Amino acid sequence: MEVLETQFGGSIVLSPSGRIDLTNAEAFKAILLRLVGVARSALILDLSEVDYISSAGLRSVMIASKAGKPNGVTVGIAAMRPVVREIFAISRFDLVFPCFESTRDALAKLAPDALEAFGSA
Amino acid sequence: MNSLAKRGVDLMMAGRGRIAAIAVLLVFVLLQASVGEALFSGPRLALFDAYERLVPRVRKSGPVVIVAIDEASLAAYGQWPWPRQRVAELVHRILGGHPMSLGIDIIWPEFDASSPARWAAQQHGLTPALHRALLELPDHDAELAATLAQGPVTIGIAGQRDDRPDHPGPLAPTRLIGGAPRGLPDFRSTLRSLPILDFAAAGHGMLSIDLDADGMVRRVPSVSLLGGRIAPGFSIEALRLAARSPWLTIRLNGGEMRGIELGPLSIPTQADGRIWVDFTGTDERRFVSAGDVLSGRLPADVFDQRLVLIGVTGLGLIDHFNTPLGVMPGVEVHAQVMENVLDGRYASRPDWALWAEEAITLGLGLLMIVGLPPLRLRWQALAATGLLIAPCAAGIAGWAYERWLIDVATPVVADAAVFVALLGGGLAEADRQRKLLRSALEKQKLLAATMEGELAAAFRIQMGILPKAEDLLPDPRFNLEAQIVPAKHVGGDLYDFFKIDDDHLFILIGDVSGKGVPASLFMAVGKALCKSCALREEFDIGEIILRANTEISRDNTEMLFITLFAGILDLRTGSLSFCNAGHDPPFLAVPGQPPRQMASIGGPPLCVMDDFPYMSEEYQLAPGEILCLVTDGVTEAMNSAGDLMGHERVEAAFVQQPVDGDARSLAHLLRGAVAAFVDGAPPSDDLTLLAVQWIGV
Repeated sequence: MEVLETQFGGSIVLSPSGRIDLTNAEAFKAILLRLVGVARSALILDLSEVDYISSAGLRSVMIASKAGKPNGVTVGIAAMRPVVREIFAISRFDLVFPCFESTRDALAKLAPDALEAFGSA
Repeated sequence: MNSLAKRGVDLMMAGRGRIAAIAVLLVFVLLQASVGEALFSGPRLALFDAYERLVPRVRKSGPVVIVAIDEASLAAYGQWPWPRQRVAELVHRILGGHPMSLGIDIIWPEFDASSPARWAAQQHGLTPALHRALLELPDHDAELAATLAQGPVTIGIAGQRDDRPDHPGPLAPTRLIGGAPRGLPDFRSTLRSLPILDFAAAGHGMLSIDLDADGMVRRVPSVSLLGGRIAPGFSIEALRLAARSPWLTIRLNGGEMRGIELGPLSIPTQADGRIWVDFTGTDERRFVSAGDVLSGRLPADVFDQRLVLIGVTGLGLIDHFNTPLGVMPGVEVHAQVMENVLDGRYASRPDWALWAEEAITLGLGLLMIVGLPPLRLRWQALAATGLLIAPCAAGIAGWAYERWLIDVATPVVADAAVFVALLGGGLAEADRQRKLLRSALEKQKLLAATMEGELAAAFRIQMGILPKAEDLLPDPRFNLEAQIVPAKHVGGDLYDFFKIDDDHLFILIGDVSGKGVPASLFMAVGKALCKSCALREEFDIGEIILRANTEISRDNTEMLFITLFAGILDLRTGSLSFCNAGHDPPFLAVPGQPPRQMASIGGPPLCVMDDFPYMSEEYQLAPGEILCLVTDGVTEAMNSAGDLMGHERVEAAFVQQPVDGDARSLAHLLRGAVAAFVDGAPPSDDLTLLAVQWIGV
């Protein structure tokens, strides 16, 4: 797993790549928990480079999402590949997290203030 | 062989001092391995300082130029802080000389009070005309901002440990490869320049320099945490802009940092992200005076393709640091880090340093214990001195040739103590030490045995609470097969089946996220809850899941969740009432027809949303139809090439089911297909399947 974290306004876009599974779910969770503490309005997971996410990875996202809620930080999912989209659909986690076609869509909905910074990047 | 061993033991035990010496040696070896980093840090750091002084780095090339705002500059251009318009001019002139990167070791948190408009606001008795004229002059901060934006400029930021509000200024995007870093310097908030300046600069680097307990700078953090965000050190950020790398790449192994990558530059770091600085003494040749830059007295090419830093050196010793090679300005410490990177030679404490140090302690210690006692006292002292000097020489050689920071001081101290013990004897003390060590070892063995026993017990309990197909009374209306293969000893899959009454069969399969004991306990609780709900709630499966979800969400401190498919089959009609909580839909196989997966609306896994309205859904089984429930240990079984089994391969296995086959034969087909696919690759997840065939009436 490899992740790129970028800040746009008060929101963070995290772009992991590769597989997220039991071997790296703890590290992934640590990164997510740190970032929901940093973000002001939204933490967007850009999954365009993720090949696979296991239930342990989904759990990391769920924990981060619950940790962000009291501070008004929403965890959004963007740009899923077909395999990952299917995993979210089968597990119905698409009912739990707001899911978007693209990072731009996610920011537009969850953190409109960050859209300008995103556009200029 | 036997007599050889006996002679060895005799040799070890002969001489009273040996027992004490062995005890001392063991204590030192254990201390060194456990708390050595803190306990021996004084002699260790003194030794590393001695290395640096004995064989200091030779400054080969001069890739970094420091523009010093020194006493001469202040004498010529007035007291510090200068109006920002003057700083802007300095920056403008430097950028005009085409540096690869410019780092400014300054933070401007307040506005410039000498800007004409701000100055005018504080004066009384200005004529209206003069006041108007002043207002029309450019603002100093705006001028500096415009200049900063003209090139690859890095400005300073600093970490603060208090809870002051932080404005989220820009930082380099960071790319983490291989985990999440641990043990970085952690600051709650950031001291930054005015937003107009902060957003104008392309780079932002941490100026904060780590001091050791004795006030000395030996290491600098390559990255720090600022209010939870990863921020590069000042020299790293200036190098990033020079390398034109759009982001900062951090390579990790678990929580341990391996290094930083900036485009083509690769910078190894210690596990905690720090870099040991390989110092030279302060060197005049690194510096040019800011006054000379402003007055244009320097040769035109002085900055061409160089890395330039601006720092204030002329204010007494305010921004000066103690280093192993003497006092130097903070900006020169940053410059030395950059020189280390560009020369590609680093001081480092290799990963194996501790092992080497342990080996030296142990090897020399044993050599002394075995070899010294037979010698005469005079020769003993001489030999011991020789044995203690050898590691010192090795340590210095390792530093001189490879820049390795190997702590030979601790082994020398330890083995000197061993020598003293050999001489002194101290038999009673040695006995006490030996008993102490033995009892510690016994305790550890006991603990390990208990732990293993507990895991084995957990496995037995887990397997014990799962029902077996043979235990069901034979019923001509259906047959059933269930199998579970945990990947590790204690897994997170579950299944269950039981007859609620004569005509209703309850079936369930689930998968707890995570592995090990917590997942297993959660599974046991989840299964028991579903069962008790099912026995209470009659036949509304949606209601059962709803109740189970509320109950189980309540005590979920581990934040685990369960994907689950549960259903109640009416054995009289073949009607299945079911609810799917985020689980892979069941496969359906009617003899002689292509297999398919059951469609459902369903909901998220249990414990994800505690108020989700789960609903019952219905499916009508045809006579002879088999319902096959699996966990992702089947569908996501992985072969050694990293390919997943996938639904297509599962369905392909079903095609071979004979027309007169039953649940058991289908389960065997599927297990065989998985085994053939993974072809010996170790299972990464539990593999569970539950197949039910409704025969009809």
